[in-house]
Amino acid sequence: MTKNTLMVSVCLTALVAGTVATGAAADDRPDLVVAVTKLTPHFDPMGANSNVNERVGENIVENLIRYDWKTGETVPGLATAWKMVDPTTLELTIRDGVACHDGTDFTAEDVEIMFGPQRYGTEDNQGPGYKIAQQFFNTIKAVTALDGNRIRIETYEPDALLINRLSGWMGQVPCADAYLAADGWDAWGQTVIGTGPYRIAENKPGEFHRFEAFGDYWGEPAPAASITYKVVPETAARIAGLISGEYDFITEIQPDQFKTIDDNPGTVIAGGPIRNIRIIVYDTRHPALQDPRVRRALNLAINRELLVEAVFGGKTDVPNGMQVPAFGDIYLEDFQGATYDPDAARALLDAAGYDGTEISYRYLKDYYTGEVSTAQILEQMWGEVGLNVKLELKENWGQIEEDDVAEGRGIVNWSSTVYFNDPIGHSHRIFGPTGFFQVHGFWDGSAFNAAADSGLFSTDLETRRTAFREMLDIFEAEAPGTYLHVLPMYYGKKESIAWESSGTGLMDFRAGALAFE
Amino acid sequence: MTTLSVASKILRALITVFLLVSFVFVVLRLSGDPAIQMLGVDADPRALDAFRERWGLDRPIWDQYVSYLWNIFQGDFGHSFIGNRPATEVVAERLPKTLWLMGLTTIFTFGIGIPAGVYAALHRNTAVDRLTMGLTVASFSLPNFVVGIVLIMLFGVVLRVLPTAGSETWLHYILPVATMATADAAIFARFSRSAMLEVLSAPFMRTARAKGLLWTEAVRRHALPNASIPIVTVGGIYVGRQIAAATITENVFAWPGIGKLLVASVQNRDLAVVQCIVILVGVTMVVTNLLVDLAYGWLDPRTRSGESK
Repeated sequence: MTKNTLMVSVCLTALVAGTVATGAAADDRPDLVVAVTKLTPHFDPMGANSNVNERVGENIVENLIRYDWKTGETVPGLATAWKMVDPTTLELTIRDGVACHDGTDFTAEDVEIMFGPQRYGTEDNQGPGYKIAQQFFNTIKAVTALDGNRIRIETYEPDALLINRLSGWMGQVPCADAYLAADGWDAWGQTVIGTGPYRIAENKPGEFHRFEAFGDYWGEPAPAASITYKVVPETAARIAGLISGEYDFITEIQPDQFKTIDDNPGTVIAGGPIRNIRIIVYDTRHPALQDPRVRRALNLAINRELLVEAVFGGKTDVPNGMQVPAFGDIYLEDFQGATYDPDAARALLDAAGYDGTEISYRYLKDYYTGEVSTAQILEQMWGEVGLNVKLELKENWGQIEEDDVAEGRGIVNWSSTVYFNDPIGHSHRIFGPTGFFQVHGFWDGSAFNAAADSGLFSTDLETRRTAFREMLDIFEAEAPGTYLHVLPMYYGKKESIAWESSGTGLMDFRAGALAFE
Repeated sequence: MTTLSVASKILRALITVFLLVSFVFVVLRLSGDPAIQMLGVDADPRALDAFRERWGLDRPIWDQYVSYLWNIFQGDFGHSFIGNRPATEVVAERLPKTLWLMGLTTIFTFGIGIPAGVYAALHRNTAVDRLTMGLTVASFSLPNFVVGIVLIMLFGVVLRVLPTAGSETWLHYILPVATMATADAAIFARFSRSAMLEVLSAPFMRTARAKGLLWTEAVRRHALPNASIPIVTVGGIYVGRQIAAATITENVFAWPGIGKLLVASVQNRDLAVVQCIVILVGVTMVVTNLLVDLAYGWLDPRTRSGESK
């Protein structure tokens, strides 16, 4: 390096340092950088129902009623009060003084428009978000602004889960003015205007998006000055960036990388189980899987505790049935759930006359945390009881789903996200009559459907619990699939940042969830 | 080179691009469903159907193909599923980053590789020659993703002097360029050495010396021009494939260029963007090869049609 270039470098460094120092004086909150593998293609939940959208969601767009993941309670959000005025009508009072990111006021009219046909609508008058959101809000008949700060939501039938739906994923309400002024649904999806503590400052699809703290936020100010979600596809590069201090958080960490991060001074593993159960599903049309005894044998051959210990170092849970404790009152704590009994599995296979027919098992390369290891362990466990399962690594979901039973689709990997804290938003959504598996003929779930219809949609808790228990029993007996463990989501983070997982896909960076030492 | 031969080369080039686009069109549609990639595996079947209908993916593949070709013919390369932006706009936005990476890598590759190879050839069987060739074998034996990660670990994690991902500052260029240029320069060093050795042992070099030319003069006037012909051939192919070759490096270093866009678009089955990139890569290859062909005529008078009789 010559003297001249040295001088230039020194001057540039001083200039950069000066700029940083000036910025720091203006806002001493830190700037967060989160290295991720993928960005959401659309910021409205109704535009992209995916974990990458859920990850950022409530930091920018908010619910009328908020679900506090720390207490499991629903608390005021954009609405300060709500009451059922009759069994099918809910009225909410919208909070005064809520500003949208574009400076407009958030009012009841925003709610009406955002749930109206311009964005969501009804079966007969569908907005662009209807197809994605209808499985969350198919009970809603009409949303009407009564005046500036009161909104009425009517349902077709009494809906015991209405509050649950409004406080969950997809219940976020963006601001209407910017939506109406936008150049179409997809263009708007890149610049959604919400009311959250952060606003979208810059978005380069596939590269990064940057949020900055919203100064006029109605609640407690955002703890970070900005958050940049940067796409770093390579795991080694994400870990290196965390260790070197370039990133504050990294996502999509596999269990075999825990040690590298934990052993490095200043970085730790965060996260853990989320409200999503890892499942495998059987195509009951497969020649070897038509007999439910073979399917139950598959379930009995799985040592779930050992699987969780081997793949996740014990850092996730095994559910007792297709349910999670977040279901609250309807959660059946005493439900037994699947057991590990290889002898019983062998006996069932003998009784069913299983002749060793090959069963294919389709999976992806670690789309789910520890997916490859899990598949290999399951193959071994099934082999122990005499089941002939052949692993088939696929490139993408389209290949997993290919409707080619004749060519051997047997077992597929899947997961079941709890869309809202109730079986209706979980097992019934996936295995019910409109769920993927019945629609695609994996399983004739008529008994399951009948059990759900017998009381799951009732407003009486005991009726609901009875119906749900029956559904869980049918799921175990007919065995259209099984659950393996609660799906974990792990992150690497700087040790100096106080943050814990929300138990969902959301990386919550709001006040109360994020702090700096 | 006659007008006819140039026209025939251009026609061949167009057929190549057409076949390439057709192949990619079919393979992308048969190997994954864009609706599932965009909306997620949990998506409601009705939402998936609505997506397919909206983007015309529910139509027969031949129908989609004919529409696609007709639209390309009219200059419409389709729209990205993300943000519904024109695919050409999405690609054009990323292109400068890749061109910068390509340009700098090419400068370092040619600037280091070719002189090193020529020098080794001129000092054949000396310690310098053996050292140079030893280093080149080591360099091109290592895949780019290994070199990239080693550089990240060394300069990003251990020494902490260079950023490991992104393209915000000039410092961000160092590791990706070093990764790509390391292997590429090694290849050119070996190739240049071979080309030079072949020329140095040619009879015309002995003739040149016999005429009384100084060794350095004989090398400058006769050896280098003749050795440059095969180097230009490889150089043309090299420059043409650079856009595609940057894919691995761009992904390792999260470089926001065409290569990273290509991988993400294939994963998302963002069909219009993938096809646009494939056409870009194909056209680049074809154009550079055409330029190489034309350059032969300038470098080697024997290849000029009508003049070698």
